[in-house]
Amino acid sequence: MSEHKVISRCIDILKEFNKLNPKLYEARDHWHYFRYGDGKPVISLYVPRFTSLEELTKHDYEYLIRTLSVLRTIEVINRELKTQSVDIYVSTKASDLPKDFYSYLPSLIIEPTNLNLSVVHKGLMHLKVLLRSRKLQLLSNLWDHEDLLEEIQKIVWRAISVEHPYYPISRGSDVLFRDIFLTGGIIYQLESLRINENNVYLSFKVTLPPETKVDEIIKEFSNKLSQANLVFSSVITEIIKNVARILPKKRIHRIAEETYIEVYKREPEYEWFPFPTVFNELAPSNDEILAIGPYSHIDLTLGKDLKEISHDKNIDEFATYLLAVIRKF
Amino acid sequence: MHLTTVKESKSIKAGNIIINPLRGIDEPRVIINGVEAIPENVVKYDARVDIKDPKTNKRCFLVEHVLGPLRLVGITNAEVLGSDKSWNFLRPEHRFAYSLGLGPDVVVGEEDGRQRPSLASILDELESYIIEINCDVYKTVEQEVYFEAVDPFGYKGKIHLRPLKPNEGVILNIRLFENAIDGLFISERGLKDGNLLKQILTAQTPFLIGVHTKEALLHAIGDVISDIVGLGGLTDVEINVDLNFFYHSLTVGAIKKSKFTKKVGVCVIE
Repeated sequence: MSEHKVISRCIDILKEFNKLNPKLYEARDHWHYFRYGDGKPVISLYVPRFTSLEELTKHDYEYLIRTLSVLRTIEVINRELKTQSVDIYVSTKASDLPKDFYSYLPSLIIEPTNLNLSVVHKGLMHLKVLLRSRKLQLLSNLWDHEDLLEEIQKIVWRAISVEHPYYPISRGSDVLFRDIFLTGGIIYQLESLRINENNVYLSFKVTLPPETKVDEIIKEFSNKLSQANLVFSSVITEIIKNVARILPKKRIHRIAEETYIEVYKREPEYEWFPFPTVFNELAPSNDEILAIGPYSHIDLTLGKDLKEISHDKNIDEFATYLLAVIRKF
Repeated sequence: MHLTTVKESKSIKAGNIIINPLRGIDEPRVIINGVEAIPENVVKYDARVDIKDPKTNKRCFLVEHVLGPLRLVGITNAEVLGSDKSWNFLRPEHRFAYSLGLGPDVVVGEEDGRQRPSLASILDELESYIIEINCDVYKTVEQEVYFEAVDPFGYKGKIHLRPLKPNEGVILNIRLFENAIDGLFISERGLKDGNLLKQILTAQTPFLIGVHTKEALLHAIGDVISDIVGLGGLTDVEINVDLNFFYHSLTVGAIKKSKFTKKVGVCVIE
């Protein structure tokens, strides 16, 4: 897929939102703020900049399904002037939302939740570890480099591996089961690795489940290392994003639950989101927020253009739900 | 069939639940954390079974691992309380409960996915915990029920429920993929074969171990008894079932569709 095509697709998304005559449009820090409606704001929309790699990935495709669902919702809502104010965020990564884009209105955060409702988002922390190794003292012998690298590989391997006596979550297990269980787990992602004459520095990003203390994470990591006969000489931790939890007791939650039963003919389920997003930024100052997204176990299909993707049935289904929720405000 | 419950002075601590006596209801019934385990209260039935009280909105998770074991050991009526105090957020039910602001006690299935191993360990003395209620009841399906369901993996399951006469008990013919057992008989005293009962109570869920083992079939026996006999409050019925993977949509789907015939004989409700 040519770069030109990808870029034109990115521009198309913003163009589509602009075609709907927003009363206000502002872009900052990768976020695009559109306000639609006459008089008082009918609906405000915050879309992060659509970035893509050279090929349309599964994640891009999923993002398009979400974004186009919102687009379709606004196409209809924009013609209905009686709607009350609701803010919509289309969230992807934990890119920082500009402070003046923070909403104090009931807000829907459109994320890949697979049609679950979500009011708990895990936090994120840095774990920086300094290791001392007997082998490092022997580095004058170049042949020891190979052993050292193998040892470090083992450490990293252990750190990012997860196992459980009952649950099928180890590497190689079915992705479905890993999703089901690991959504609530402590997950390590290697961020950097540095070796100098006497030390090995490892830096991880670690997802932080609620009710989990940093000390527990250090203890768990220490256990992982001890299995490789290693100890760390110092640890630095830093919370990047706090855990977010909203109890679903506000009007937006009641409306979302009732509407879910009407549209999908079944009870909604609540599930956590496995990493922090804009939800974590809004939660401390706004408890009328809810994360929800379309069904998105989508097979990767390359080569589709925007027109083809826009016919995905998940878009209409989810837009119907969003419309029904917003109309009740 | 005579209803049974737990003796007043002998509440049973069985893993992460406490089983207390329940009287005052003229049919088999289990109440879990204040929520009646009846078909109308079931709000999720696929890989697990959850119930919710429509008035209080209180929700209980994994109730099949309470209802099946109780009925299989011969307890028809009980008030059950969850007793878990700590979270295990690898479990989706715990994450759901935490999202709602509930405690871990609302999840009444055990974390290893076994039916109820702690009841297996006290099976020999269990009779001393149970008392017969002076209440003679007959409840079965009003007519034959045929039901089919296809799970998300495309496996089709089939179930057929046939009404039986009073005191004919529960007869189960069950298949889970390549494993099957026919002619299991469950009376008001539960399943008579102690060895088989122990195996069922300690069997792990097919959700964790796969559907192709004998252990998975044994676990499924508990689940089917839970969903048809436990939720339905039935005393006499023949169950013929060919299970798929997410089989609670099949079994609970069938009991939700069923209509019932009930006759109460001599019944002293204290």
